[in-house]
Amino acid sequence: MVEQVVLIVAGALALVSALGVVIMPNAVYSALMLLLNLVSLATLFLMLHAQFMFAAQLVVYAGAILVLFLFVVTLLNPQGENILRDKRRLQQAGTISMGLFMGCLLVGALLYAFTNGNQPVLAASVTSPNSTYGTVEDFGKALFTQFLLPFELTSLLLLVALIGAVVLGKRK
Amino acid sequence: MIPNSLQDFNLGYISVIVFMIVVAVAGTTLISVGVLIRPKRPSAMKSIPYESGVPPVGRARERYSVRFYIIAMLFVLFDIEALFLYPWAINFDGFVRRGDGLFILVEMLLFIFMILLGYVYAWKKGALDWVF
Repeated sequence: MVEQVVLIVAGALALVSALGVVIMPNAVYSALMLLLNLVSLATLFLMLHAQFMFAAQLVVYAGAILVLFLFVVTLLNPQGENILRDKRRLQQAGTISMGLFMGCLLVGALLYAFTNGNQPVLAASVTSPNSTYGTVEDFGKALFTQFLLPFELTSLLLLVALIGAVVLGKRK
Repeated sequence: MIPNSLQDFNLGYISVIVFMIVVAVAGTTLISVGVLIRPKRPSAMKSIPYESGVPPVGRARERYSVRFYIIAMLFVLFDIEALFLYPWAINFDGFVRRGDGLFILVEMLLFIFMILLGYVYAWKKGALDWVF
């Protein structure tokens, strides 16, 4: 019961805020709508037992990436550009119809999956009420033993990204 | 129709959701109560940024310096590093109990060392200086 209410509220919020990102007249409001969207998605991750993803979504996306987006908005300083008020009619019609087409495709695929398609069979270790699958502790255990090499390589990736950011940012 | 995996929602996180609801309700209530009860007599003098200071020059929505962006990018990278400390900190006690404390400590030190190299590089290149 609780989980279904949370699922519906988070899903509706995700949908509304995603629409808000597109149709908000001010790019800063769009970015704040994106924040709401990311938090709703984090809730959905939590519903899917992906607790580390939940934390990562909040800490990295809602916390850091969104700040980056806001910096881009203030750097480029857009002046009320919005697809609904675009003067180039052909481009506007093309964008909106393409968006509607993709939306219909998505809804059709979901309807098919929930009516005709086969439900994926989940292992009992995942679905049992006191399963620890997806908890941060389980995730960490796997990360620091079985996936030791990828974890250490991540630090290399972060190092490369850091150096790249400094080199590109410092170039006059 | 909702897949089976959603049926057993982890109830421990209900407190997080209750917290979010309380924050949202408190925020909107405080702002709307303020709007309802405060007197509203706007004037041109009241709307300027510094009511008793120098008159502003130019527009408020100027472009920001790219320096802010470099700092923000570095913040994202160190944020990801901090994120990996979270499962590490939760598992540390368990690893120590099983006698693998040194293993997991060295593992994380190696990880932090690699990122420390990038930190030293950014520092030496002056990316952390405000004026460069």
